[in-house]
Amino acid sequence: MKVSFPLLDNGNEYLLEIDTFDKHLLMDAGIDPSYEIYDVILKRISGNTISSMGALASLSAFLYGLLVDNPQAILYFFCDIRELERTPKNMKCTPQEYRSRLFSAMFEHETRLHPNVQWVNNRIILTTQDGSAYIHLITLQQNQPIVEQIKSVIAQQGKDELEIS
Amino acid sequence: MNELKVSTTSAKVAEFVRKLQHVKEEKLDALAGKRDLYFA
Repeated sequence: MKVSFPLLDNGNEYLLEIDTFDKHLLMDAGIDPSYEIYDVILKRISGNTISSMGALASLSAFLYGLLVDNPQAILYFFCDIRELERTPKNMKCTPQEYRSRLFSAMFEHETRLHPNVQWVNNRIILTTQDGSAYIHLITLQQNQPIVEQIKSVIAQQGKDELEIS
Repeated sequence: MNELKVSTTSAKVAEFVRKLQHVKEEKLDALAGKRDLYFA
């Protein structure tokens, strides 16, 4: 599945792309590649004004609809580490943590609108010698056992070297 | 939110994260324009 969702809002143009996650990466990490995991890519294509809450709502509504229409899907969002434009009050956290907060805000916004839909926002924070990486796996509750398996595999990768909190 | 925090010195995990970052950057770079939303 590959889906593109273009969005125009307040003079800004965004593109949300949903693409099948690279199964080789899953296998390299010891994760069962038979699961339907979709990579979420979000990018501003044009415009340079502050994003509105309307844009946030539209993007989160699209992701919600995607999961409802594809109940077996697991959405994967990796928060990349490059610097991004933000206000001084948000400069205390790393770019990847800030992106994680934005992604969670989208999820929480949609959850308030659909309180009866059981979906789960799983955040994995992997801290290595390079710093902390933020990964989100979002899926309906029915697929949560699969996500727990994936989390377990990730947690096991470092074996005795891991410190899990 | 359901959260898992893992701190590790594992080179294997560090390499896995670097691959994920690389894949993400490749996909982002394939698209024109800026990288993110901007919220005040």
